[in-house]
Amino acid sequence: MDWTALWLSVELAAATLAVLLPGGLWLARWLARTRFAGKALVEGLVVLPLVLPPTVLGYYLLVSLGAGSPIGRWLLQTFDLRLTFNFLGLLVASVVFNLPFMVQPIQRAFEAIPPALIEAAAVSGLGRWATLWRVELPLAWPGILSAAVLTFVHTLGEFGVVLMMGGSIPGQTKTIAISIYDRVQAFDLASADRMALLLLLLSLLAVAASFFATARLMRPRA
Amino acid sequence: MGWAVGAALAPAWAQSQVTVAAASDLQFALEEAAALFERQTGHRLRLVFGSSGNFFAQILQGAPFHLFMSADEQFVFRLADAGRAVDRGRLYAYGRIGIIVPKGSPLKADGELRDLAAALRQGRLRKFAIASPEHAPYGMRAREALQHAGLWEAIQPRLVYGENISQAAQFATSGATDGGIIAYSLARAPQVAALGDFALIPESWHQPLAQRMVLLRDAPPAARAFYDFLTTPAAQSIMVRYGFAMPR
Amino acid sequence: MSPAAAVPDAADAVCDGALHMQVQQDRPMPLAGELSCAPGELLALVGPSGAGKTSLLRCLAGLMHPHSGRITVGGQVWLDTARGVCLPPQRRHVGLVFQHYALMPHLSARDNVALSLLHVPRAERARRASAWLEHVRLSPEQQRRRPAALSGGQQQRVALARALAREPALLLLDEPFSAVDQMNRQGLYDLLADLRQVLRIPIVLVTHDLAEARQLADRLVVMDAGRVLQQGTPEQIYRSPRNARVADLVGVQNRFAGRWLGPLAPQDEADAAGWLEWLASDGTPTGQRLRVRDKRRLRVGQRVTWVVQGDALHIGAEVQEACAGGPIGCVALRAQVVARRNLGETTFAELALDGAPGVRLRITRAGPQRRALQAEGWLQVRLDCDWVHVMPVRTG
Repeated sequence: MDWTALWLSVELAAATLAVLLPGGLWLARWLARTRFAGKALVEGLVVLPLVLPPTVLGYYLLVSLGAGSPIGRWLLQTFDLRLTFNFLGLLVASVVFNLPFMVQPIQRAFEAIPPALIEAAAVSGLGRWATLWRVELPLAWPGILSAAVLTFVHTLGEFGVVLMMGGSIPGQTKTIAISIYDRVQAFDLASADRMALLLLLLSLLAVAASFFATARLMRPRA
Repeated sequence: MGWAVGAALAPAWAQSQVTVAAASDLQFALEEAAALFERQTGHRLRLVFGSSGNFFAQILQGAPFHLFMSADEQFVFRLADAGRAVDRGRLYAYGRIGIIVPKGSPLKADGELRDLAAALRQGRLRKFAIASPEHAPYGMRAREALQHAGLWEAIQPRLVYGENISQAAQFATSGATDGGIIAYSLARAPQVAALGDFALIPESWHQPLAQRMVLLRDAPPAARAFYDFLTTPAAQSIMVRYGFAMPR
Repeated sequence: MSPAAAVPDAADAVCDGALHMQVQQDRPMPLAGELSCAPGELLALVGPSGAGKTSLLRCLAGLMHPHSGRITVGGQVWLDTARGVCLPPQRRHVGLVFQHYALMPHLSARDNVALSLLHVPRAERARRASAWLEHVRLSPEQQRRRPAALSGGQQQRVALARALAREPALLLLDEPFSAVDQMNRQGLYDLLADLRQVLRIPIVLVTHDLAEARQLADRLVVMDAGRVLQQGTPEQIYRSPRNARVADLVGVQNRFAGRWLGPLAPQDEADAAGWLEWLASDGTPTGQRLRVRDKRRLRVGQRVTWVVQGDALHIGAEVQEACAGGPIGCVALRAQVVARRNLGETTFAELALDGAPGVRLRITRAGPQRRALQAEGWLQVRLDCDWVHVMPVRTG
């Protein structure tokens, strides 16, 4: 049982959530509320990581952020910062890769709020922040929870992207999915079994929680 | 928050731990050698196993490894030419390949591949595993051996490719294939030996697996200590036990 | 009624709490009109779907920005496109009651009303919210419930309380009773009537239910295709619709074709009367001529459309009563019931005019007076010509 790898995966998932929750929330609300030319393009870009093979994403990130690229060189010179083969690089990849998982459910949740309610809040004197806090968030929270849970679990099991640009470095980039892969190759199937089962249970739990939350959103409010 | 974690982790880990990128055929042998080194010196090692070709590409992209142990010296020379290594490295072992057949396979473990040829002719071969000839040295040697035996063309449609020699060994012993060509060093490990029968393929059938290791730029002193340790008799006897031949 | 006429500044200088509005736009949908509403007055916007009534209301609320316009309430400028002034809904003290209530499903009735009271300290907020809910006759137990546990009528009361808690300078109601069942509607009408005694603010009601408009409103504004067609008291509009379109929109049932003959005798001039030849819709004469008011707007020989309110047609026992037409007089007609529809207590009947079977009189009677419509054969119908309203035919 590779506790280091598990802890690393949990850290990565939590960090991804910390970055993506506020950002995704803002983006999802903006997409739900605004109409503008090119909106379809933005929505397409948000969904893109969903259909992109993880290895393709990993490859592009490696090439565009690695030490050989202009961005990578600039980061190294200015901040002494690397974005490949380390936790930070995985975090960047994870944030990009999980964008649709975070944004889409939240966007749907905001879209489900009848516009009349927002208007009613406005004529009752509520400004934008008050409307968000008192009306929108209380109504959209199941969608937000669902998005957060999905993102967390999805990051926990991330493999393809990590493989491409992680380097499988224990304690840095060897996430639990990589560890399972590694143990299988080392003919240590017992260890691989245990970790795979744990990952399966965690994922199942999270998905069940997210379905429960979504059902709350659908049920007419009593 | 992730920023803080990542930024904090990166330099800290780099300093305290030597990171070794090792070819997959060293999976068992190096674990033993590293354990011995850690006990003797107290230095902590992080071993990462994979295909030599992949590591080569990653190191060119700036992967933060300190020591690269390749299963093919070409990769070391190219890294040195690219200015990534401190010198042109040192030959640390010669590897061998052989055929392994899992329990219950219709194939026989014949090092001269006669049974394999027969199986191909009779059309009774299902799948056969080798490492990827594109970037895994053991895969390249397996291809050479099969070409030497005149079986390469015929066996093409039956091949499955492991991403590195360990994965090839996984495929070869899992029962999903009829067998494969894997590293001798892996077949010597008890976990693998228990899974099937193994026979060495003659050395003359392929290019030598001259395994070379090299220190990379910015490697800490502990890395050099390990580099030197690997040529001591204690370390070499471990390697020999796993079927590696020592350079003269 | 010319749209886009600037409201004189003198009117806003008077801080009388009145609403003055004028808007104009072509896109995305045409809107043009001008209306005013005094404090304590209830103005009903009526018209078919898509007439622009709700759009106008939304402009008043600040939820929609017309291309050009001016809105002042109680002297305060809410919108003035010429000067770039446009207050957001939050800054206008407006109360808006939505058609489908728009209550927050996750809050109790009291908390819903409290949303309008965020500028008030918390302790005070709950007390005031409760007070407003009592005003709209919701019990304390009901006040604690969430909207889903309240009936449509109760929900609309909560919505009303929420709008009023804001202490608005203008109250807007967007088809507020259309989603409420018949039984509860009358209760809400009564509530609104009671509240009007207390609130001295302009109230604008949008409805497509003409009966409702007639019952509740002091004045009507008839709209069609984004334009304000006519404003006035219900009596004025029903009696004297400006043109055939308005007549249609307010549901004047008896509309006929005619030709204006003008005054034919010296007595006509004295009585300010003129003669109208009654034509069938295809232009053929019916043989009837009517003596009606001459408003001196028509040319002799001009083709006209004329309407008469149902109140002006008398059948059965009513025929015997004295003609209320004054100098204009009444006329006796013979007609026969050709179609009859009974809906509950009311009977709607179509009568064909003697000598002109294509011309149909539409008469509605309720209660015991329906009996007159049950008769077979020729009926006497008395038409009070004083009620006849003549309009030139709309060309184009």
